Amino acid sequence: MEVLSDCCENNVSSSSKKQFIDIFVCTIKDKKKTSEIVKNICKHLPLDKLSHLKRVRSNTNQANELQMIVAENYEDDFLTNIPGQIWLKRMQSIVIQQYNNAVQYWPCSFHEDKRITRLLNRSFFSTEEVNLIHKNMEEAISVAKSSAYQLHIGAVIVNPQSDTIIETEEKHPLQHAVMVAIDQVATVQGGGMWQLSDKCCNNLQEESCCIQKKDKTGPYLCTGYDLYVTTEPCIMCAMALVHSRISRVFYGSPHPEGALGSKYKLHVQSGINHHYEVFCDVLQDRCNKLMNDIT
Amino acid sequence: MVTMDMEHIAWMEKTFDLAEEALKSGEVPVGCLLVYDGKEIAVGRNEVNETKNATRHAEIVAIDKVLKFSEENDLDSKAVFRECILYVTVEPCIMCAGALRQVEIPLVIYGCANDRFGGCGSILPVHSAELPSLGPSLQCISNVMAERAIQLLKDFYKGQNLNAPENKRKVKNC
Ligand SMILES: [Zn+2]
Ligand SMILES: [Zn+2]
Repeated sequence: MEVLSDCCENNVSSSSKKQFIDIFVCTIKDKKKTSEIVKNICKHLPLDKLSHLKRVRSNTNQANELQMIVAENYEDDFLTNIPGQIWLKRMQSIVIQQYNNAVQYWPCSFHEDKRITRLLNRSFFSTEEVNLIHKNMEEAISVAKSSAYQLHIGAVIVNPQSDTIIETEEKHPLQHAVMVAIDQVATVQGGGMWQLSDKCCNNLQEESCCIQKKDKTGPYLCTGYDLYVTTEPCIMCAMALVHSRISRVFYGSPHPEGALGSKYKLHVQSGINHHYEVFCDVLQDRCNKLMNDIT
Repeated sequence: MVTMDMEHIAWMEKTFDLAEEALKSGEVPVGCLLVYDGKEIAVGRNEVNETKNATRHAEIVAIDKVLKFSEENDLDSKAVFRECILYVTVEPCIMCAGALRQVEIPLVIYGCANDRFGGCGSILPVHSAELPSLGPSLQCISNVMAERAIQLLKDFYKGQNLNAPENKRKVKNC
């Protein structure tokens, strides 16, 4: 499942809670004047926070009349004789469930976030995509088993376009599986900081040739690439992935100090200039087992 | 500026010389210097462009040099890190703050805040957070010659604009 930002999760869970605020509504008795009235009121009393609501709706009791939102919290005496005060949803609807809920109270203009709706329906990935995700995580698990670096943690970086694995391998305190994987991408691109053995980069030598032929510079860092890692990355690795412009991260087991859902949600941290998508629980049982094997 | 040891100031001056050198060669002007047992044992500056590795920040470069220093002098690198003081012209980023905790450096002294990526409080307080499996917390002394650090960064970004780089690469990552 995807690790969403708290604000997104709150929006989703609040769909059942219903968030309402008071607004003032008046009746338009002469329908012909509607457009003129609406134009005027929008100019003088814009609905900033309630811009997802339609300004006017038909009056369910009086077919020849319309109801119009005047304002939120309008405290002028001038409004005292305006009929009614109704309850209504405050938040912009982001998923269809919320929309259905909200329109019971007042019509909304609705822009469905299709991506979030699909995530909530658990239909985000196709069967083929799930198979590919599992295959890549299998690769990370086998790296974990043979890793000379971080104990029992494996990471691979993959170019999802060509499905080539850009993978990873004297102990170095900063050579976490993710840092190693990032440096192997750099090595393939003609850089690199750790002169790591390239014995496991077979698949990628080929790709790097293609990159060099097509484009002298290659992709910028890890732009467009996916990372598969058996355990949730720590804060150092999570930030290294921000600097490297990774596109997506898939991990197996959560870690209490992990930075992509457990202790922090760095991928959606405000103030940071690059955000990536994070999916957790991929082959989680097998990844958990790797961790349990140490203890 | 905080009142502090003249020794710290002297090391910081030296760290600024490194940052200025970096600026002259067109790199992000961040310098860092590690002092162990009263002696300079490692320096670092940003090497992102050369290595095509966006994690190659000054602090990471310097950590690698301490490992090399320890090996060459037959010292236990863990023990060396635990006695080190790191001087750096800009607040370490979130990644580097994590790396400094991982190698157990106890104290960092830095110039100006890093509003984009700062890991010692500006964006996240990685230096002091409860992260036992990463390493002990990191003590920070901030705002040491901050104006000079800010001016250096300003000069760098001004220069970038003048050159109007066609490739965004060069402006990234400090
Ligand atoms: Zn890590
Ligand atoms: Zn850094």
